[in-house]
Amino acid sequence: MPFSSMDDLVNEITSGKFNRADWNKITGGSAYTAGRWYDFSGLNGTPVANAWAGTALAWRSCDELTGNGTQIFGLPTGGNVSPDTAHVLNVSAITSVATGVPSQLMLVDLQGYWPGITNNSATAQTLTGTPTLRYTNGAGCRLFWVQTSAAGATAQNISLSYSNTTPTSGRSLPVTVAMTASAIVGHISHSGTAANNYGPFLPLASGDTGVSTVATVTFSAANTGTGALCLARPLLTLPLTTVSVAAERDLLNQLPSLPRVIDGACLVWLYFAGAATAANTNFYGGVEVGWG
Amino acid sequence: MPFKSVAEVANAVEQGRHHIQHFIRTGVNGGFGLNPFADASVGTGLPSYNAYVGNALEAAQMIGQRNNSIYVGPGITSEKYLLNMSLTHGGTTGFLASVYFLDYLLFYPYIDLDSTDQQDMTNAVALPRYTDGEGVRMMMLMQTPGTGLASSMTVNYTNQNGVAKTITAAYRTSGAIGCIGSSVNTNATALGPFFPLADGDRGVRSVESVQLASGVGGFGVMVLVKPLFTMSANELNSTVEKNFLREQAALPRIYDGAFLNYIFNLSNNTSAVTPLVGQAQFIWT
Repeated sequence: MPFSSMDDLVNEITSGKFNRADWNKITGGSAYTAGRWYDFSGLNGTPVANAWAGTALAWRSCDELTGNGTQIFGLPTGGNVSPDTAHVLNVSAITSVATGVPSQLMLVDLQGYWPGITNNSATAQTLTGTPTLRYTNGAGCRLFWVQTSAAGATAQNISLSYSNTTPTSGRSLPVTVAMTASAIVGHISHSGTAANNYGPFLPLASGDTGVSTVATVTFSAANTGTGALCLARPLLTLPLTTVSVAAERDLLNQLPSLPRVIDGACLVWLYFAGAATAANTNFYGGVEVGWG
Repeated sequence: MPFKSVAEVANAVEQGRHHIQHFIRTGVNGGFGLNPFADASVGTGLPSYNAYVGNALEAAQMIGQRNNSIYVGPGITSEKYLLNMSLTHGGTTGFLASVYFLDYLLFYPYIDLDSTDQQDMTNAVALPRYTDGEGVRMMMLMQTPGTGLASSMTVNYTNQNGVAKTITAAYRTSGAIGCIGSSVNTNATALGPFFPLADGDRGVRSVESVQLASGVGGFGVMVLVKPLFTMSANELNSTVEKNFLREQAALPRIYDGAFLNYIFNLSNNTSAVTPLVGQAQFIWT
């Protein structure tokens, strides 16, 4: 049952239905390029890095308590709370590196991913497994590609055959979507400022509002590299404007939305580099969840 | 007994179930370099200077009493919460960019940062609050000045489920007492004020041992803390305020014996950080 009033929220939270998780991440040995999105789940810190475990092309579900079955990389939210419903109350983030701002963090509930998809193919690669999603038929769930080993220098476009929330199969991207040549590990490599880049999520066909599964991935040309196609539900964004100054957002009063955290949610951050972000830039902060 | 409504929160103040506490730092221990975190409990003013006095490597509980930490009001049998907090940085250069307010729980003093031997801790006492370790984090700061050299540290600890775990993390010493070495970002792998946790862990019950990869000088103190909330500022001499009901949607719980203080980072490399002036209002049911 959701919060019924401010009184109820105060009562539930002061009854102990509250969890604060303090996280930290460091970007690693490669600089990030301005205008591009990057995945933070694969970075070292707390929680631990997502190493994209799984069998190539086979769906791998993710949740809070077991992660991807190998690494537990989602932010702790307090665990499963049904029949209560959990909601994000507050988020904060700090970077102590000047080139870490301006930037934006997006908190998403990662439903899972298809790992080990090679960039080195120009024919359709068939994905296997049926996603079990926390959102019915993938309502509001979006796709993004994370480079899990660096891409080669060959230009390529990506196309998909996916099912929408109806679910109707055979849906395709409505526009040409360019991947980034020489994309580094962690880059959501269809995002950026080049022609035909889209980020952080792959665009949907006309009228579609979410994705329930993906049948095939096809590149226009063979390149080297490997990636994971991820399916996630975006929950909130958090802009970072000033080095060392905590970016804070209250999702009740400041931006009333109280994003729902469904049991099992695997919360991870995506990062938009508003400036060229130096290697080994650290970020840290907290996520507060309440339920009732 | 929790607050049942907004009206009950308001009534706590109306009916006198509240305490307003001022606190001030008039001095901290020198320049910290650009952007690392430092422990404000180690400094002059009110509350009193926290020197982390204890026997080497022996766990010591941190219990708030009188002015050894930010005084949270009288001991009570009901539940206590933080309602308001304000903070002003009255220095001349740089500014107090971000602050983590913490409940300090337990510390292990005089860890020899010249030694590369495994240093085993003595845990005759346990966490006084948050006893399962859920959400409790490790931070290590300079107890005496170090050299500024970098190293890495292997930490064996017990997690929130009572399971032994190990992490290895970067640590850089500082010449400034109070500097939190895991946050010195001239280290390529600096992760911030708290040591990272192993796969699946959400907190720490105790630290069993530490071992440095190389000797770097000075003595450190490992502190187990429960982060409560953050605050941020954008300029000097401008008070930042937070009402936890209207602006953060969650009143931080203050447990009996809470040892409340804070860590901070700086926007500039300066020792002219003080005075740091704050005010907190606590309420109880």
